[in-house]
Amino acid sequence: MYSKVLIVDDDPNIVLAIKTLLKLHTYDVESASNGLEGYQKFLDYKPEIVLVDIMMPKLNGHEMVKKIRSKEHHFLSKIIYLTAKGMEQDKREGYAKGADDFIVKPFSNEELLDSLK
Amino acid sequence: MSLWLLFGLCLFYLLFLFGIAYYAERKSLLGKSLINNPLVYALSLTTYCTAWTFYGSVGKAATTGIGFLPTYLGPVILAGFWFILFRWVIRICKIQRITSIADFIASRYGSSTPIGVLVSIVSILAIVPYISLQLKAISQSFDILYNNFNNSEAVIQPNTGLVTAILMSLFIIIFGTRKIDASERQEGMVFAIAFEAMLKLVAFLAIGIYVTFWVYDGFGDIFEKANEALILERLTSVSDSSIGGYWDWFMLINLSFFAFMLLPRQFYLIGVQNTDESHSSSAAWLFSLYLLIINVFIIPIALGGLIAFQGSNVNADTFVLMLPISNGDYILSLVVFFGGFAAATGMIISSAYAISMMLTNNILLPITLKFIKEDMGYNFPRMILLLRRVSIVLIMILSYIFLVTVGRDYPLVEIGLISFVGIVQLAPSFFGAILWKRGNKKGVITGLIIGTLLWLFTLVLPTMIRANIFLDIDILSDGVLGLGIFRPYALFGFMGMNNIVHGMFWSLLMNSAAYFIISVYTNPTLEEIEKASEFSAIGNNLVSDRILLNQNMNSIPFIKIKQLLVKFFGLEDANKLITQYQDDYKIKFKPYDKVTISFIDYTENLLTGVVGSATSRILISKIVKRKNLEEGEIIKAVSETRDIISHSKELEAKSKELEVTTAQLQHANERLKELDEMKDNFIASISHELRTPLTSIRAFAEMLNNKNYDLEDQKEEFLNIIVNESTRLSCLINDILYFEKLVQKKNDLLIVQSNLYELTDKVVRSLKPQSDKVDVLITVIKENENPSLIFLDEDKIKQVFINLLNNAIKFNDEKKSKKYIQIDLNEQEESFEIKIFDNGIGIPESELEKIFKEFYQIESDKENKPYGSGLGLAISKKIIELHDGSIHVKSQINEGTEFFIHLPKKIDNNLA
Repeated sequence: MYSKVLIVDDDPNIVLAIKTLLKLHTYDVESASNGLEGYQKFLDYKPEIVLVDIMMPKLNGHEMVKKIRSKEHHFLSKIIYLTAKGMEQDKREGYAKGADDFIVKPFSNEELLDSLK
Repeated sequence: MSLWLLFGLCLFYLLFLFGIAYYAERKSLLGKSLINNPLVYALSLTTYCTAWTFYGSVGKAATTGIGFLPTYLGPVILAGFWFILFRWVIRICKIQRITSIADFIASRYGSSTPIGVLVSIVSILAIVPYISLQLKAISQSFDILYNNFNNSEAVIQPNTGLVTAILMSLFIIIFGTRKIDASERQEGMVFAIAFEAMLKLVAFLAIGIYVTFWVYDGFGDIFEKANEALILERLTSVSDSSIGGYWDWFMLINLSFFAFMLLPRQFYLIGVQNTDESHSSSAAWLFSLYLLIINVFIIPIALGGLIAFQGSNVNADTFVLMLPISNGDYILSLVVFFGGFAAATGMIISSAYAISMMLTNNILLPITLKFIKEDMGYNFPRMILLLRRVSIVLIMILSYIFLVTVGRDYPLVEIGLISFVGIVQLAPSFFGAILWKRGNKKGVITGLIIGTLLWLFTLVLPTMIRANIFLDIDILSDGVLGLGIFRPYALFGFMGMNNIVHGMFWSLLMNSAAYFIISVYTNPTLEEIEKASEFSAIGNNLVSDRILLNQNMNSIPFIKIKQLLVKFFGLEDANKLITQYQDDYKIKFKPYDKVTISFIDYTENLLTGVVGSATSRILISKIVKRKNLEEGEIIKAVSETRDIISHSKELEAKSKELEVTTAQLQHANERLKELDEMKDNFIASISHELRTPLTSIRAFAEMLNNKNYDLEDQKEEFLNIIVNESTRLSCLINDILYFEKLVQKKNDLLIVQSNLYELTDKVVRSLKPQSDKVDVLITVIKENENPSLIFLDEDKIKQVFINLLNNAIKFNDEKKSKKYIQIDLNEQEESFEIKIFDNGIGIPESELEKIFKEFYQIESDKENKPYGSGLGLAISKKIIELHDGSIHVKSQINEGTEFFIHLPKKIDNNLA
C-alpha cells in the first residue's frame, strides 16, 4: 500500500478533485501545476506514485517522466499518466519514457483508486 | 581657265567633301544622325551609278539606243523585292555583325576561312579595275575640260588620277577607320556619299534640261531632228547586233539585278550601313525615282550629241561634257564635270573601303595572326586599324597601277560589265545562303572557283589580250592549244552571244551547277546546318533553334575570354560588353568560372564586327578547341534527324505537360495529406479540450454522489466547479462548431452597410464591466468623425473586437500603474486600418506565429489558467479573412501587444 502521491496537472480543478478523493482514502498528497514544478516536487517529496498529465506548460509530461527516469533510484516510483488525448501514440511514447500505467480522462474515481493499488 | 585653277577646284571639292563628312561625324557624336533616314539611305545606294554610267550611259545610248537600259532595269526590278530581301539581309548583318559580303557568305557556311579568302579575291579582282575606270574617268574628263577651255593640250599635265587616288585613300582612312568595330555606322562616309549622289543628280539634270530645252526645243524637237538625220531608226531597236537580242537583254537585266546587291560597296551600303530596316521600303521607290529622272534625259542627250557632232570625231561618252563646251557654256560643263567627279569619287570611296575591309579581315589579318604569338603584348585594336589602312592604300595603289599599265592602252568601257560578271559569281552562294538550307561549304568553294576561272577565261583573258598584255592573240580565234572549243568568246562552240552575256552564261551556269550538285551530294558540317537555320530563321522572324550537340568545347575560364575582348576593345569597352551580356543572361562570371557556350558565341559575334567572321573564328579557336565536326556519318545522321528532333520536341512538350499535371496532382495530394493531418490534430485538440473539464466534473460528481464521503463543507465549492466547467464545456462546443462553420464557409456572412466607429463604441461599452474590474482604461481614437460606411457582418466583426479586447483585458500587466487599451480607427480610400494596442504583459516572440492557431493558449505564470477555448484568435483571423482583410500582430514582452487589422470597405462578392 503506497501512501505518498504527487499529482502534476495544469488544470486546477482536476488537481483539486483528485487531491480531495485521495485524501479521503488516506493518501498523502502533493501537487504541482507544470512539469518543471512537478520535477522539483518529486525530488523534494520523493513520492511513491506520480500522477502526471501530458499536455502541460514549461515541461510536458513526457519530458518530466524522462527526467525522473534518467536516474536509477527514481525507478522505484510508480508513474501513472493521466491523458486527455487517449491516442495510441501517446501511450507508446509514455511507456517508452518509463510510465507504468495510463488512465484516460475522464476517468471514474474507482478506476483511479484501483490503479494506485 | 588656268590649269591650276581647275586643279585647285578639284582639290577644293575634295576638301569640301572632307568637310561634309567631318560635319556628319560631329553631328553623330552629338547624338544626331544625319544618315538615319530613307532619303540618305536611297541616295547612298545610288553609288550604283558611277562615272561609268554618268558618262557611259549617254555613250551607250548614242551607239546602241536603249541598250543602256538593262543596267538600270535590273535594280528597278529588284527594288520590288527590297521590302523582303533587304530586310532579311539587313537583319542578318545586324545580328551576325557582318562587315562585308565576304563575311556574309563565309559566316553562313560555317565561318569558313577559304570562302572568305575566295570571295575577297574575286571581289578584288573584279573591283580594282573598276576603281581604275573611275580614276580614268576623272583624269580624262579633267583633260577634256582643260584642253577645250584652252584649245590646247597642257604642257605639264597634273596627274589627277594619282592625286585623286591619294586623297581618296586619305579620305577613307580618316572617315572609315576611326572605329574598331567595322559593323558600326560610318556616318561621315555615308553622308558624303549621299551628298555626292545628290550632286550627281543635279549635274545630270542640269545637262539634261540644258540639252532638251535650251539647245533644242523640248523632247519632240530633238526626236524630230534626229529623225531627219536618220539617227533615230537605228537606235531605238532592241535587235541591234552588238547588244539587243532578247536573250542578251534578259541576261543583262539579270546581271545588273544581281550586281546591284552583290557589288561589295552595294552590299556594304545596303546591309552593313543601314540604320533602320524599315528604310528599305521607302528607299525602294526613292531609288527608282532617282534612276527614272536620270534615265529620262539619257536618250535626248545622246541624240542631241549625235546631231551636234555629226561627222566630227567626238567620243559619245563625252557628250555630256562636250555639248555645253561646244556652245561655250563653260560653267555648265564645269558643273557636269563635278557631277561625274562626284560619281567617280563616291564609287571609289565606297568600293575601296568595302574591299579593303575584306582584304584586311579575310587575308591580311589571318596571315598576321599566324605569325603573332599569343601574349606578346600587341595592341590589337591599333594593329587592326593599321592593317585596314594598309589595305586601303594597297587597293588604291593596285587600282592606280592597273590604270597606268592596262588602262592606258585599253578602252575601259567594258570593264564595268566585266566587273559585274565577276561579282555575280557570288550570286549562287549568296542567294543560296538565305534561300537554300542545303547549300554547303564544299559546294560554294567548288562553284566559286569554277565560276571565277571561267570568268577569267571568257572575259578577263581576252581583255588582257586585246590590251596587248598577252601577245598570244591566237587564243581568241583558235582557242587554247588550238582547240576550237576552248575559244574564250565562243566556249564549247557557242557563238552569237554578246561577249559579256557569253561569259556570264558559262561562268554562272557552271558555278551554280557545281554549287548545287556538290551541295546535294556532300554533307554540310553541323555548324553550317546551324548557321543555315539561323540565317533563314532571322528572315522568318524566328528565333533559331540552335543545335548545340556539337559544341563539345573544352571548358575555358572566363578570364581567357575576357583577355581576348580586352585585346580588341580595350578594358573599358570590354567591361561594358561583358556587363551587357551578364545583364542579359543574368549571370555573373568570376575570373575562373567556366564560361557558357552562349558567351563564347557572343564573344565571337563581337569579334566578327571587328575582324570578320572567319578571323573571329580563328581567334576563338585559339583558345577554344571545338570538336572536329567533319565526320560525315555523324553529320549526316544529325541533318536527317532534324525532322525527328522537331517531332520529339512535340513529344517533349507533351511530356512536360504531363509532368506539370503530375506535379500538380502530387501537390494536391500532399495538401490533402496535410489537411488530413491538420484534421487529426484538430480532433485530438478538441478531444483534449473536452476531456479536461469533463474529468473534473465527473470526479466531483462521483464524489458528491458517494454516500461514504463526508463532503458537506466543500459541497458548494464542488458544485460551483461543476457548473462552471459545464458552462466552459458548452462554450467550447459552441466555439468549435462556429469555427468549423467559418472554415467550411457554410456560414454566409450577413453583410450590411455599417458605421465601423459606432460599432466599435458599442463593443467597448459592452466590455466596460470587465475592463473596469481589472482597472483597464479603453480609449478609442477616431481619425475623423464621419467615416464612410463599410460593408461587413456586424455580429462577426463585433466578435473579433470582443475577442481581441477580452484578450487584452485578460493579459493586463498588474505591475503597471496605468493599464490601458487603445483603439485607433483610421480611414483609407478603400479600407479601414484598425490598430488595437495595450500595455499588457505581451507575447514572447517565439509564440507570436502560433497565436492564431486553433487551441493555442499562451503559457501563463498565473496560477489560474486563462479561461477560453483557445479558438478566439483563430476565429477572429478567419472572420477578418472572410471580409477580405488581414490581421497582424506585434508584441514586446512586458511592454504590450499591438494588433493591426486591415478591413476593405467592399468585399468581393464571390468570397462572401
